[in-house]
Amino acid sequence: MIVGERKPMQEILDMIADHKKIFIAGCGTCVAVCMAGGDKEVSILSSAIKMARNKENKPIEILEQTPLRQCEWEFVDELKDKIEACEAVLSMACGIGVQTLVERFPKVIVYPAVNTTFLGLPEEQGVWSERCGACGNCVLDKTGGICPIVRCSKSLLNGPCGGSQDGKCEVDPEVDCAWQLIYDRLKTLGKLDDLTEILPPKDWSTGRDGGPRKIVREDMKL
Amino acid sequence: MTKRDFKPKITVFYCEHSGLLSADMAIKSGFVYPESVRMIKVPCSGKIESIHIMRALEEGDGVVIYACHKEACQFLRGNLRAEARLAYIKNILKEISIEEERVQMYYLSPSNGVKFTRTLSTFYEDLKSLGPNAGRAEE
Ligand code: SF4
Ligand code: SF4
Repeated sequence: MIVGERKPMQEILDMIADHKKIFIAGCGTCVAVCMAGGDKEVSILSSAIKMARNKENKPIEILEQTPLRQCEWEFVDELKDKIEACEAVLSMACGIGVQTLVERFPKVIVYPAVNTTFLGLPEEQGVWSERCGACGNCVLDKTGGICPIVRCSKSLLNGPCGGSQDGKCEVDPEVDCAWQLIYDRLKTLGKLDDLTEILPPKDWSTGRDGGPRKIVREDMKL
Repeated sequence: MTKRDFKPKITVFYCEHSGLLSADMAIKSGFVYPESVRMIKVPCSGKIESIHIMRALEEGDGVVIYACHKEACQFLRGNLRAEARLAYIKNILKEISIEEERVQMYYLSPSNGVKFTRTLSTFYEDLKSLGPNAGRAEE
């Protein structure tokens, strides 16, 4: 899932400083699970903004709604009335949600209230960590199911580097060395021999370096 | 309104396993709530969500939580959750320059009427000195 966190309040307050009536749109999927932009976070942000604006003697009216997903036309269409009733939208979805609103409602100003941070999982309640960099050409089959692209600080395809110490990464002693994890996992699977295969330099044209990506499935089109 | 006339509007969330019994004891001993205090009973302080505290502050001047002592929560970790949520709210208040002292949490054993009276009276007086919550909505 996509993991994010709310932007600092001052940054949000500066974005909406000139508006008297806004709509805060949450998202009920990824950012609700990472507790950054679901309906609870929408209410808390709304309350904080109102208090901040009352304090400045510039009260603000706020409408709120959290569709199931902010990245699908059919769900954002539900927001039309509220969007049209306000001067601007503050989106608490990821950057995809913000852009879905922008594309569906081209004349409306949409501000991001959340910093989209990474693709990851909730390790436990209240703790999220990165697992995938969407490189477009997965190598998990070669690395025991552990992603070297985002879990190795240097994205090494043939690790570890010389800075791996006691299973930890030299970049941050709190972070596990991904290549130690890969080694341990392959050992558990009895597949340590796999490590003798040298992975060639990665073709990054499937990743961000290849420009904006798009997938078209003719068989699925209506 | 002068500070003398100002009656802070306070929401008190109290756990029924400690705060309720302490409040009863305080009343039996002659404590009278200031009229601007609103009491809300909860089955556990862990039931108080961040938004409840924010909303109470949006329409008032202060919020107090009465919870059971640490390691004495009937639901094991409810009071620790309440404490963590309060810290989260205090951070938001700091970000929007609203005094953090407007939200407080006290730990009580059941039937500690003396502590209930003392903490609520002190909080009330502290808020009187602090003045109205500038973030509060106009009535
Ligand atoms: S808008 Fe973003 S956060 Fe919401 S469901 Fe879509 S991808 Fe997930
Ligand atoms: S190798 Fe690429 S696609 Fe596979 S988990 Fe890592 S970043 Fe994601």
